Amino acid sequence: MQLIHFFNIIPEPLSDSPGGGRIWRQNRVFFTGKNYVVQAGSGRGKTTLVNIIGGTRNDYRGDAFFDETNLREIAPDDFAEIRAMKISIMHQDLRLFSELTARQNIEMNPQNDKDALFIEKLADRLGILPQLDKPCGRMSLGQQQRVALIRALVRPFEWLLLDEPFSHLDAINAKIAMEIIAEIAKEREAGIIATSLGSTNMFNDFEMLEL
Amino acid sequence: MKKALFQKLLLSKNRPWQLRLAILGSGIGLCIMMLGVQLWVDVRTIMQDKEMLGRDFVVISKKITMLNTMAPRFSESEIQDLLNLNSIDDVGKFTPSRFKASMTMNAQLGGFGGQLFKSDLFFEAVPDRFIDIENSAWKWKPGDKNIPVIVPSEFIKQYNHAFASWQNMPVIPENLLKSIAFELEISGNEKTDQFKGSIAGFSNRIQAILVPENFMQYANNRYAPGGENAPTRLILHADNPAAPEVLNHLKENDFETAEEKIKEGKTRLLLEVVMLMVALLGAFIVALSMMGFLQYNQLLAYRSAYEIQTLHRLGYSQKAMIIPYFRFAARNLIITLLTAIILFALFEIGIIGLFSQSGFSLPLTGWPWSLACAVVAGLLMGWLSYRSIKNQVGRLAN
Repeated sequence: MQLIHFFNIIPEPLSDSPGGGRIWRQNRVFFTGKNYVVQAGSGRGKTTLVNIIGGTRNDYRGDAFFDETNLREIAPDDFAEIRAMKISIMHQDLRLFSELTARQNIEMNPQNDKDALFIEKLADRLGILPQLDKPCGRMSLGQQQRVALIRALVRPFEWLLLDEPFSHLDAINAKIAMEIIAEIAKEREAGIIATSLGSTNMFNDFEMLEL
Repeated sequence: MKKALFQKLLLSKNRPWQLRLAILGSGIGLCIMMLGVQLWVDVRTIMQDKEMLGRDFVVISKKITMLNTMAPRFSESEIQDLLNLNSIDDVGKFTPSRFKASMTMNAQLGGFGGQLFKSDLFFEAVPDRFIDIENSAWKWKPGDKNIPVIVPSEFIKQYNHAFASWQNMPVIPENLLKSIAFELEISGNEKTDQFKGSIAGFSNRIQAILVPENFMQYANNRYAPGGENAPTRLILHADNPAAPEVLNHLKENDFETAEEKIKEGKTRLLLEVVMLMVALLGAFIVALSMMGFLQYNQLLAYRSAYEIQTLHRLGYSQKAMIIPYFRFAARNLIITLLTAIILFALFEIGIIGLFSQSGFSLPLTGWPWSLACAVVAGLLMGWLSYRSIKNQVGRLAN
């Protein structure tokens, strides 16, 4: 999956707005191996963008393609297979199972290609190793965000979608998280599309796009 | 480990008590349906299991009033009217004998010598298609000296139980009687001939001594030519002799019939209707409790909507998520079926006990039908469950 191609896309809820940014109503190509950060205020459709690429929303005008394949032509279960193997998404609302422990949440990926030791090393670097066997429902939001990040990184992917990945992290933890993301994405030769509400200072070597 | 977590996430919102009640309700409904089907089939079997002249034959005659001096006869148009009724398939005429006949039975029985008894007789005949007798002896062709007859079994009973014991005569079992030949003397039109008679069977239904119809025609022509041919009695073949259409027609035309037959027909109809109602009631309860089942499955999935959506976003297919729900539903259906079958078996044992206490035995041939109905209901339910779970998971996943 080399390219993600957006052609004149506008989400239905935003169909009254004129566009004017660099994605909505534009001809926009995302290249694999490159990193993009999409910056916009609230209600401009950042999460919608992630969900369109993730295949869980199709209420938009225009067309989106993975290489030559129109996203509208991919059946729900085929899209699930694509998510399992090629697209890893860290959702803004984290999407953890609160009654499961952090470790169990991470193991709930359909496929993981990193072992338990690797997971523990990441947890250690992010400062949540002691919490790894605690139910996620009893963790702070910041801790939960780091669990969701680990879950998104230890599975195979060609594209990594990060929806406001640092919204609950302090500057130090955000910096560590960014280092880890860059390392693993580089190792996997994957492209990254991240969204950010405010400053994009954290995102070095990312192409900045406004919606 | 991961599979267990996957199932736990999807099925964790189960409410065991709601489920147990749903299973019990469906089990009882299925059991009632099975009992209804069983009794319905059994009642039909009992009613069909009747003697020689089958269950749907009725003999009718015209009412005798003060105005009749001769037995009233049926005209062709009256016969045609009967045939025009939907419930009546066939009408046969009784042909009475117009000749004189007497029988003599020689007793090589029980040590008696000489004549046992001598009696004048009166014969009737009906078309062969109204006689349901599996006996090759029931036939006659011109030149045969042997005449087969069918005798009312009541006749033999009266002889054995009343006459023979009172007169100190030997009793004769039906089987033995069949093997005895007797002398028949037939006369009329200034002719007298000797024949042999033998009993081909016994009828509970037709209260007449029957001979083959072709013999009757031959003998009437030979010994009493030119007599009246219109019948005084008719035999009807009806789907149900107690059908209102038939009863009304008989009443309007002052035709008489053996009350017992009609009563039996009415009882049968009533029983069949009652059992059918029981089966339908059971099916209705099954349908209602099945709806409960389907809704329970949907609710179970609905309570895990977040888990379904999240797992789908992580990359699990809807197909994979349907499996635990369908397995769960199938397991519950099997438990329901087993509950119904156990209840049914208990009832069955109870019913056999009840009936045998009152000296009556049910044929119990209906239970395979009950089982088949239950299995069909189970399969239908499985299919409906699969469809509704598939739709529900599809709705919740995105």
